[in-house]
Amino acid sequence: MRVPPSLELFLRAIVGRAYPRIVGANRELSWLIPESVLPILGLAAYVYVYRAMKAPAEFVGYVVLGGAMTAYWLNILWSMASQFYWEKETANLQLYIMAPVSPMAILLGMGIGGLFSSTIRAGAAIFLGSLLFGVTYQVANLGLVLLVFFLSMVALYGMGMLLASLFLLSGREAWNLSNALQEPVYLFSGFYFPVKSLGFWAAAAASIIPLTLGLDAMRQLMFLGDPTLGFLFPWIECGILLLLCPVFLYLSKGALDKMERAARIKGTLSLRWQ
Amino acid sequence: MAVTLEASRRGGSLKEIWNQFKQASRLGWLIESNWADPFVFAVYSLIRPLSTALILVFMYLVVVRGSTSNPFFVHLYIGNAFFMYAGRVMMGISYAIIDDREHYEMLKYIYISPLRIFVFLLGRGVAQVIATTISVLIILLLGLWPLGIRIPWGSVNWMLFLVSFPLGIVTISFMGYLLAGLVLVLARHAWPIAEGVAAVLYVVSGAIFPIDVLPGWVQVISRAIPLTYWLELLRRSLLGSSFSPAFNSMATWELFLWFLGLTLLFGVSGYLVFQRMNRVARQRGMIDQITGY
Repeated sequence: MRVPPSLELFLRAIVGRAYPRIVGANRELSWLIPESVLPILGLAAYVYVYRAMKAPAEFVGYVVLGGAMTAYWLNILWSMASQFYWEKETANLQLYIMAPVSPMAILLGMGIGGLFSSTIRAGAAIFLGSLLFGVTYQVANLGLVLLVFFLSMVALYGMGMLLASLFLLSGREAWNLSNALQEPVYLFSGFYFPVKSLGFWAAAAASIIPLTLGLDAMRQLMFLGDPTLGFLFPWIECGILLLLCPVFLYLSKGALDKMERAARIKGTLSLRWQ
Repeated sequence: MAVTLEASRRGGSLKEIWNQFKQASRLGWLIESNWADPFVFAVYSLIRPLSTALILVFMYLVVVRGSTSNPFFVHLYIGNAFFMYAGRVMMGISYAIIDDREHYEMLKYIYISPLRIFVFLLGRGVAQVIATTISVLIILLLGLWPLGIRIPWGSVNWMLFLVSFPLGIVTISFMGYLLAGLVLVLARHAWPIAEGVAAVLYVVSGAIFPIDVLPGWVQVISRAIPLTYWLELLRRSLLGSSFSPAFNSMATWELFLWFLGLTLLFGVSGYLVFQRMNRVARQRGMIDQITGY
């Protein structure tokens, strides 16, 4: 069966953009050391806070899992949302726009490549964190854990594509915007504590970020802690994530078309250091 | 003679150095604020530290389910607020090298101008001190109201605070110079250095927990860095008590002497490392290297 040329080009663009993320980013293997160790250092402080407060053991697991998930959020912020800003700074963005491929394919390639490299870092953080802090897991339903993780990632990277299109018009404020979105999401998504403690409505509002529900569901499925700490039942969270996936993909496509057109009109696609 | 010529070429009089410092601070502020509207920049600057503080608040509330006026929480909160200086000032000074060398590609022009690089970096640090002070004050105000942490204002040791606080900023600045020196001769590994050191210090200095919960060998490192003593002195001056039982037996003057000694050690090391690496980077032609930021 012959693949239609437009689809072939779309797929080749995805592979072409994912390649530097998978191969290029891991070519300098010594980078893996700081990138694996830094999240551990970040989460170690929170582990010791819980230990100083004599918190139940599962809280250390919550921190390790949350700390590992920061790899994905950082990837979304710095390597997807603000990526078009970096591409603009290195004068690559104009080449992407000139090329006869859909920017959606470029973003998908970025997402797939980023997912791969972030998974290596998250895996290292979970492995080292569990080893160093003696985390024990009680996985009741591995299938559901994997499904929740998969849906969280699809929805999250869909959200990343949406943010990338919104950042398309950004100049140097992209740096500040990414900075401003980092810790607040750690807070509202409950990266280091059960999100339920924010209160129902705040947690419900934070559920727009796919990692909020994904993390809460995975914690409930991987640790035998206090069941009242979970925000919603894991299967409900899984269902909401299933809904979020097409919503974010649809919104990102629409936003990308609109923002690209606006950037062409304003002539900001090739502006550096603006 | 060579020294005199160098001083003259770079503007050696005190007045000239002061002018350089003022300009570097102004430029530092503009770069750090990204030439943004002051209000927008204030929002950006506040959101991040505010979120970190609130993460700690919720971590405390979910476990202890008690009042935020509990001494443990107050010590944690104060330590976290003041630690912001360490992260931001140190990173501000060292990251300026990467930013100006690789992003804006201006470092070489700074070197060929009459500006001294040491003064220029100090200016970048001052901009961070100003921005961080605003953040710290707001975090502390949030702590006093609505969180309700209590500082016994009547018994605050202002003398100790007013001596320790600026000395700590000087220590942090010299630690920033030490890192900036390393960044000058590093290529692809420069960016995680500052972030990594700040993360290590956040753990080992006991900013948000007593160092007693750390493994024994890490506690040895904790006691060898000035920041641990700085945060302890600030807590003692404001709250009148220690966070860590490990320091209970130490008198305040004893803590201060340790802090002073380590400050001198780190200060001299930071200066020497920076000057040495600065020379090496110039000899090896690394001032205008672009390695991909």
